[in-house]
Amino acid sequence: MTEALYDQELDSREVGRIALLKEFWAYFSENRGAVIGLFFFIAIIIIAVFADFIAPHLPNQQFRDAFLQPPFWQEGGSLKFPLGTDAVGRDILSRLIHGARYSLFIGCVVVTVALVFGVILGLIAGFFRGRTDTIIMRLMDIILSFPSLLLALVLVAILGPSLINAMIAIAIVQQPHYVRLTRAAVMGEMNKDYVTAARVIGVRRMRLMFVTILPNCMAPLIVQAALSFSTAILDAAALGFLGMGAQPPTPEWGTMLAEAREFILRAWWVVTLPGCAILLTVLAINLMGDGLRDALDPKLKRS
Amino acid sequence: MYYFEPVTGFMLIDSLLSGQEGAFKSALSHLILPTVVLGTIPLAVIARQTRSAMLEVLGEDYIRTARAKGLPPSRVIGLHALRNAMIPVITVIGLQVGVLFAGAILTETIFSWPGVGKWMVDSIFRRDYTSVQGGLLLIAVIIMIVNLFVDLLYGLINPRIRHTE
Repeated sequence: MTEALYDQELDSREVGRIALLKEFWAYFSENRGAVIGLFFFIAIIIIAVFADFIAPHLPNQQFRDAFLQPPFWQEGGSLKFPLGTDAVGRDILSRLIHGARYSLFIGCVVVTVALVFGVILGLIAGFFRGRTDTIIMRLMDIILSFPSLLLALVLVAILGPSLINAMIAIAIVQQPHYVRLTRAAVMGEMNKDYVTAARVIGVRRMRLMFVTILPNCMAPLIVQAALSFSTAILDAAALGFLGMGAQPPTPEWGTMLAEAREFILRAWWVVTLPGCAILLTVLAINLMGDGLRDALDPKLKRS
Repeated sequence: MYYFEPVTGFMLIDSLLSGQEGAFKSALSHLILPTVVLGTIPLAVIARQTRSAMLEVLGEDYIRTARAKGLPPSRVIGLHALRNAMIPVITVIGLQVGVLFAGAILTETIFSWPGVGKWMVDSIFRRDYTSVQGGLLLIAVIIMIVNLFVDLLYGLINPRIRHTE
């Protein structure tokens, strides 16, 4: 009897979840740009996952007979290198495809690290208030008072230039946004009746923080995660461009840009194509993030 | 090629002071591309913010009143609406200074301009921590001053803020 009841409850929960997803999709698909962004993003994920199979050549393989060969539609180009080759004869298309891997990897790692630490700190600040709150928030204000790229640059300078250090630096720089968002949302939830009720029942502090309150603060965090994914890719590319991120010969898009800068006047494709890859990826993620915001957070909806 | 003594440190003014023919034009032409590169991102952010602020303000009653009075649309939009929509826009403009400095690092590296950004990057590469610290402090102070200035501007734009304690 009790089991049947339990099952029923589970069923209704499941149904509620599906209805919620449906509602979310209805809002999300209203925004055509967001849907296009989503599909583009999925395409990039597929390309990144199957890079080894899709890419026509190895990313670091040099073809000594084809330096700076133009893309196939230009005179002198061939279909062997559809998007041309760079100054040391590496196929640009293959490098771009493998670069998608690095960019998504950077985005995932940075967002995960920033999200986890930001949420924990924000939750502590919003939950305990008082001196803890002041110390955490002042620290975050200090980080926020520097331009993000500049602080990341200085952090990388201290840690030493490499892709991992660049990711750590970008995660540190992005984390205050999550802390502030979580703190604000937690403070809003703290006064609600269900939190008081949970306290009265005697729910333990950790459970109250992570199980009762946190799931109700997720909407703005998801939106921020989606939008900072693109910022992370952009910042990592900028650091790579300055020689502070991924080191050559890594086929990271920003690093590719930096290597190709001197050829901008005689071989446009070496510079333009990685730039286009960054542009399109970031644009797709931003469009998707805007759609997510509209769907998840009616308060933030722009008219 | 032109050579002129750095008197004020501002290239445009110095080139005018030097009195050489074409120096000013040349200096100006070298500023066009970096300006475009540096200004595009803040432009987009400010335009979006202005749009959403204007949309909000244009729905207000006093705009309808102004229209009903028969004021020309340019006056309604440019004076009545824009002034009230400026508050969030100015906040965003103030925040863009940080973006500007971050962008300056990249722009100055690309165009080889010896500015604060390039100086920072170079000193990072040389592990010259003293000048990195100094540059970082300088930029942080500039950003704080701009934000203070923005806060003061609120009062100038909106009398309601000016007159409340």
